Amino acid sequence: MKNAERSICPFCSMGCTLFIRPGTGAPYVGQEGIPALDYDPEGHVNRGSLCGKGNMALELMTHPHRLQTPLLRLDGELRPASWDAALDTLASEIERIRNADGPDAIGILAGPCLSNEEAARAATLAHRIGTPHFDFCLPEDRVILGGIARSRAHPEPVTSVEEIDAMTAMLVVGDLFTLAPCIAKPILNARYERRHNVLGVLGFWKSRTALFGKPLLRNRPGREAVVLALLLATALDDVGGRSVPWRAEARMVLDGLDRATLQDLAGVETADLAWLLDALRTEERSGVFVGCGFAETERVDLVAGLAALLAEATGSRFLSMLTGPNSRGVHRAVLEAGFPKAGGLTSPEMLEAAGTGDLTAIVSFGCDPLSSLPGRLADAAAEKLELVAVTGAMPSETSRVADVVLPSAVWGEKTGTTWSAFGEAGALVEAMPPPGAARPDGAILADLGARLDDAPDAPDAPRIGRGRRGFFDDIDLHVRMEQRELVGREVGTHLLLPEFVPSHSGDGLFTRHLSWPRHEMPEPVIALSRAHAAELEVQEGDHVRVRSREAEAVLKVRVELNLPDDVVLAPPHYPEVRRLTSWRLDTALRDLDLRPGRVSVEPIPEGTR
Amino acid sequence: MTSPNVVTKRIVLDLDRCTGCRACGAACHVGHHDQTNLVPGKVADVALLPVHCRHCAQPACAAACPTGALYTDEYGFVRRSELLCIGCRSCALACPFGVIPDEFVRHVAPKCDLCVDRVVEGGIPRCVAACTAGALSFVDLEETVGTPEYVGGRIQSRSTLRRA
Repeated sequence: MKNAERSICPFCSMGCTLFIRPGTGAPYVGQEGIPALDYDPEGHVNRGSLCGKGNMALELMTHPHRLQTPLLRLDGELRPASWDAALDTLASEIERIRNADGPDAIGILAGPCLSNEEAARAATLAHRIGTPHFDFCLPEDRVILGGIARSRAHPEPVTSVEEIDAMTAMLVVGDLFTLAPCIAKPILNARYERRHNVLGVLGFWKSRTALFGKPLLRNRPGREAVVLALLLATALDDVGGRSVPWRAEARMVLDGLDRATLQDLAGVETADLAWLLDALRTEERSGVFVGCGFAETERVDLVAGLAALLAEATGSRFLSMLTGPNSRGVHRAVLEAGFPKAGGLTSPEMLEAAGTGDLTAIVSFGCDPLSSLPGRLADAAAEKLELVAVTGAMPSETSRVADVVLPSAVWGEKTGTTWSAFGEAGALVEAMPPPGAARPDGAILADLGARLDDAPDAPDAPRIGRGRRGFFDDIDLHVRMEQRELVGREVGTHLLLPEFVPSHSGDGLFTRHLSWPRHEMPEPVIALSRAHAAELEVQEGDHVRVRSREAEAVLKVRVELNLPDDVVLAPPHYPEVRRLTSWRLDTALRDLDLRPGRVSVEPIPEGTR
Repeated sequence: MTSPNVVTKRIVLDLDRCTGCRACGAACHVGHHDQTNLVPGKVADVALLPVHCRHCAQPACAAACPTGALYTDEYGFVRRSELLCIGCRSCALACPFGVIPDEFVRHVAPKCDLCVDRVVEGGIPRCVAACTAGALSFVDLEETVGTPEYVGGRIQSRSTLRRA
């Protein structure tokens, strides 16, 4: 393949590879200079395949919405500026706020679009400014990584897809094939090419993954954690003994939980559970994959942590999907740099502090905090913040209110390294230059750092006194949740769960702009069960008003078979839908509680819309 | 089949493996300048499968085309000329498999060309390359003759073990 550069898909954390051929695209129109995408049959993760998003990788580079010049807000309006002017202004603003309010009035966010080197450089910038507030931003991935860390499980990770190919027993939690379609190939290879294999799928509806489940564990909506707790409890019962440290720990947690209550809450067949558990334990090659993100389930951190513990207890390999392209690398870089420091805030806390006026500046690199964090927090923060600076490839919710917008390069336009979901290092190549004046985040960070005065680096404070509570203190939340439902604090009766439409994922920073998602779903929809639609007397294509505790939205109806009657689905990459979620900041965990909320759905009378 | 250039390979879908991820549609969309030539077929609200053009030996679409925009090319592929197509939708009505979608972009009928630009160089169509589940394959029709699995461009369930 001539002039082809092997690069990594910029969307999720699988680390799929693809080829970029600069200047050879558009075979039909014959335009010069447009890059072409090619598939990489030797790619060790995806073996040539690319999902709906991955196919869009090049559109990201050539998109007409790409930010091409730095923007500065002058007299309330964003105006093009030179790099020198933009960086000088930003540096002097940071200096001013640091002198006026102290360095801890400045928060720095690092998004999943940074390379490992850029994340480390962002940490250096935080050191230089002297702020303790520096954190990884994407909430769904933070919560999953935090949950696995808190579980203190050390399952053996899946390190390559070849391992998956050879597995004979697997458990998939959630709708993995829609979140990360490229992993379907090795899982289906294993499922079909070996006799007597088991692919357990745990999910609340007959999703695209569930169609392949054998056995299919259909839990009550949002109760994946309970089923996993039940599986874990059974596994521990059968094994017995307390010699292994994790076992004692997990048992401590599960003790006192009434098995019958768990069974009742979970709502799955006991025989299926036993079969699956047996297979996971006895088969030599088995794996547990977590494929739910956002708020697909109650407490996704618990689900990830329990799944990790289950993998360890059954001797299975473990893989947890993350939605950001380099979430693992950036998260790791933040921790390795010693953040959050004593007194430092986590990313949702930063937004809350901004809303109360404790934080006066937020500088964000490679993320869109105002659309990925809850709308209520974002609105308050956007109103109060004195300085919002953001780097980004596309216009975003944050850049709309930002004072300084710096155009950055996307993958394929910069070099660096990444960590995939497998924990595998990947290399980014610069296949073509970024458009206009856009620059890689690393170069922006270096320039900004040089402009700030050389403050002596603060010695790394030990990470103590963070007020973390134990991981499993939350397990009784499910009982509390029941009570909450009875109290009826929620406005509606239907559980709003996010739907991963193929080719949509993440906070929508990129995918909202791309042509295929727009072609597939030009406006936000809400999926109702057939009975629910009949009850409301609405048909596919009608519009309904959806109300949650937080917000209200008008969405188009899609009727979905197989959906439980008390659940509605909506695509979370639309800001309208994201604002409906009832995400809260959990003050004890210092992270977002991505619990799905309840909504009410009403038909809109004819002619009023 | 007189031309030496004729390609006898066609796209085959393995019904057991398709997850309905629509990556094939996205690949088609990107590879053909935002015109999606690949139709998703809905099977009883349960599954969403791609429906591929068969590139028939005696194409009904070409027979129905009033302007001669649809023709069989030297490789044996049924192609559509962008210049001649007037967007009258006759082909969409005539196709017995329903593979010409009713969503016309730029007033031109969307028509699968089997990614001829890739296939003549020995490659495989974009949808097959992109398939995330290994469900699509590009196989020689002559190999499938007499093989009970291959029925009408599909691989039917090969064993009772599948999709239990």
